[in-house]
Amino acid sequence: MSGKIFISKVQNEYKLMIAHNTNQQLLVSGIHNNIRLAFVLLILMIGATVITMCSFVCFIVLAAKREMYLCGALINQMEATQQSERKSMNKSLAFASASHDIRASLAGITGLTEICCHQVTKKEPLRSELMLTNLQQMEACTRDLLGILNSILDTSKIEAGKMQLEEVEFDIEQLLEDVVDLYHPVGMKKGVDVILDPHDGSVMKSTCVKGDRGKLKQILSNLLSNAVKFTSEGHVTVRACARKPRSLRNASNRNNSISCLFCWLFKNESAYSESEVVSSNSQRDMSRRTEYVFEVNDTGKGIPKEKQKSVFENYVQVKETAVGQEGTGLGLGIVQSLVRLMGGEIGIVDKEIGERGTCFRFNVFFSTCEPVSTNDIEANNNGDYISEPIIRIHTIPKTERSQVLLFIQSAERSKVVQNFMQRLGIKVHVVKQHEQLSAALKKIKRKLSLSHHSSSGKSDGNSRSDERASSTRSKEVPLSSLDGVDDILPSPSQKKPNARLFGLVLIVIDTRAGPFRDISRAVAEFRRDLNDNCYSRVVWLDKPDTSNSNFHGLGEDKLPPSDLVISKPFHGSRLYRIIALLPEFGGTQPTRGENVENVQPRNVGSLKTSTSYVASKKSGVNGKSYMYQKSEIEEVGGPNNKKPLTGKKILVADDDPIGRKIATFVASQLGANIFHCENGEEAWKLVCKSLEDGTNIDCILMDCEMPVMDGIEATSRIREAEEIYGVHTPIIALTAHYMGEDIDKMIEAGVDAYLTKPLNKEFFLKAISELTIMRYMIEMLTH
Amino acid sequence: MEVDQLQRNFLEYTNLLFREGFLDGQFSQLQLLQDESNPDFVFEVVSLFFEDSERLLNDLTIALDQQNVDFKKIDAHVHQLKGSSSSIGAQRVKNTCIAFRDVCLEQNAEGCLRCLQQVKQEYLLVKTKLEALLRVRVPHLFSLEQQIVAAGGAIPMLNDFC
Repeated sequence: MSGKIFISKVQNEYKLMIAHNTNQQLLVSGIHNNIRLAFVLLILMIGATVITMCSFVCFIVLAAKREMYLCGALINQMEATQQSERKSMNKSLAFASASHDIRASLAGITGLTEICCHQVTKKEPLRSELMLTNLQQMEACTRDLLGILNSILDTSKIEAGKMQLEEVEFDIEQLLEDVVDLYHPVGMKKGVDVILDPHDGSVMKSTCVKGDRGKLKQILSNLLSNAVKFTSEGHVTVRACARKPRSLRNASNRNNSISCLFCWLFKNESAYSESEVVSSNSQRDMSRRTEYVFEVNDTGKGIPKEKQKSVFENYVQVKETAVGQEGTGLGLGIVQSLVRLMGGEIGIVDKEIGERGTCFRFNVFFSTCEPVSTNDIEANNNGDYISEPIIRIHTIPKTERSQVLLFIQSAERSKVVQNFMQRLGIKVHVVKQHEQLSAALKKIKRKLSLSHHSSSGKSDGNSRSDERASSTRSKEVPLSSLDGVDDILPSPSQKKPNARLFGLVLIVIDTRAGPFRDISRAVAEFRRDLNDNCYSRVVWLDKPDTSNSNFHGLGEDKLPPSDLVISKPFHGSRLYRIIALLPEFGGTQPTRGENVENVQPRNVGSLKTSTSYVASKKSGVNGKSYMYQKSEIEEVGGPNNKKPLTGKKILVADDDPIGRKIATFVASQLGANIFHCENGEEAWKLVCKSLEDGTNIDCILMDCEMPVMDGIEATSRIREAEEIYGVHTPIIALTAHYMGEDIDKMIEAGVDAYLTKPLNKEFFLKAISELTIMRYMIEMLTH
Repeated sequence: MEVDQLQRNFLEYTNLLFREGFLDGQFSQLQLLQDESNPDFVFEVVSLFFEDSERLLNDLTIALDQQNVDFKKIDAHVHQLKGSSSSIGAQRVKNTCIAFRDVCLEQNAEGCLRCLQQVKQEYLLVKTKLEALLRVRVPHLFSLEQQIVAAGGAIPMLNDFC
């Protein structure tokens, strides 16, 4: 029994031991397992790290490789760029040298043309007019060629960002007219009318500016040539207006609001005032600059909306409209760059529905300047002429106002002219077809005769009282001028309306607008039996480039001498001159009772080349120099006017008795009343006295150098005195020099024009009429 | 004499004066201003010129005789003379005046005297020429113009010199 227990004990112990062992074993195995696990994990971790490191290394290596590759590529690219830059540099050098040669040849041509000019004038001064015009046009062409060459070089300059703007003084109105006239013949060949629209006349007031004339001409030429190129029918209109820069105000507003914000944020008063000062400074800088907005409108094919942005990119052309047309596509890109350079922006304006074509509008900024232009007496006229503004001088009662009848072939031009004239307050009738012409003329005649019958009773009664009244007034108007026909240049200071001054009926007829025979018959019928007190004048618009001798086989001798023939397009300076014919704007009445058949036409009427100068200060009259170009407007036959200056009171101040006598004589031949004095002091005293009396002097001829008080000081004193009364008498300076500081001083003192001694009748007459006209036009347009 | 012949003489003589530089374009401008309503215009202007110039030359002589020569006053006189001679077209007188003024600027009294002599000479020359051309103070000498008018012709104008 104890053995059994022993065995069982041993068995138990054995079991325990085994159990213990198994536990131990389990533990050990457990530990072993753990260790193994841990080991595995460790290995895994290491592996992962290794892999990560490897992959990092790989990435880095790859990146480095790429970088090296990129560097290499970059270096290659830079080399390539440098190479192409060098290439373009070489190209421009080649251009430069080639252009040098071209310029040399062009200079040669210019020089030779000049020599021809001189020789022609020396040998045959009288018969050289035609040749001279041709030579001058040649000179203009060479100049243009040079300009084109320069612009080709300019393109590369712009692209290199090295374009600079010139600063010269020039006249915008003249530039516009030049450019439009340049493209007019091209347009006419296609049947497209190229019109310069005077719009609201705002450019006329500030037409003299400082800026880059060539680039502006380039811009306008490009736009115009595009317009004409892509238009096959209809018209191309160029419009310009000037205004004070508006964007500046917005900018300053923005500045102010931002500075407000800042000052609120930082509670710093000084910041606000600083920004205010800055904005006002820039305002002051810009205050002398005016914004000019130009528009080129055509009725061509138009540019589809999607392409509108891209046309301004270089070398892009709207393909579907360029069928059979050439062009490098450079133009609009250059135009945009130039406009931006001048501080503006260009864009395409959306047209109304139903209107076809494109309208480009751009604005540029120029600083206005005082207009002073001189032309040497001895130099031949270089064809420069600047348009003059038009002024209303005299208000005439409504029934007797001037009327204008327009019969122009191109409907758009007719509309433009009509709008402009109506803006100036002129009554305009428009005839669209030649059948309506005679009916319209008859209507006008009927109306005129009616109004005269009603007012003739009035006027007879008035005339006698007028005579009496004028005799008690100052000796301004000699009695003789009230008798008979009145054709005096109305004086601005006339307070009593002249009952006898009737308006002019101005008929503007385009000879191409209908069968000429019918037109001339209608006009002749109108002129027949025209009332004694009505005046009519016909302006014939002829086709450009036809000589007057073939005026529709009619011959100049058949037309009455007061008619005018214009062969250049009817806009710009020609338009202004025609408006200036109306008595409200200073025109003189044509004479009556000319026997049409017996009149011999004068070759060039009184509008010959003039070398009179008109210069003025900004505060005074905005005047421009005026040189009529020959054969532009030819008067058919000489105007046998009565004395054009009748009734005007003119003061001559000159110490030289001979000069005085000549001036007196010239002016009195023109019908004026002359007072003279010997030096500046007397002149000043006379002017002061007349201002006090209320009898205004119409014009003063002031010699520059006089004893006691010279012309310069006298002029400034007179201007001071005038300011009190609010008058401005036109003062014409007489000088023996044609340039120099005397003239500058006179201009500063406030003269309106200067003529050289000795006084020439035609120049003097022209200067006076221009001055009177200019003054009132500005008044008209500013009120 | 025949009118044509007279007129030709007149033209020739005037031409001569122009060629020799006594008169310039200004004179023909004056001739152009003259017309039927003012037949004496040129004559009047020329007489005025004579009077004025003689007065100025007198003043100049007196001024240069002084102990202290007042160059400013001399300059003023010469300027006036220059003005009137250029208004009438007396070219040589005008040119001499211009030279005179330069000498005056240098304040050279001797030079001024010499210039004065020159101006006087030129003036006398142009005076005789003009008197021959136009009507003359001396009644027994008929000028070319008077002869033409007496013979019933018109005074021809020069067209080539404008």
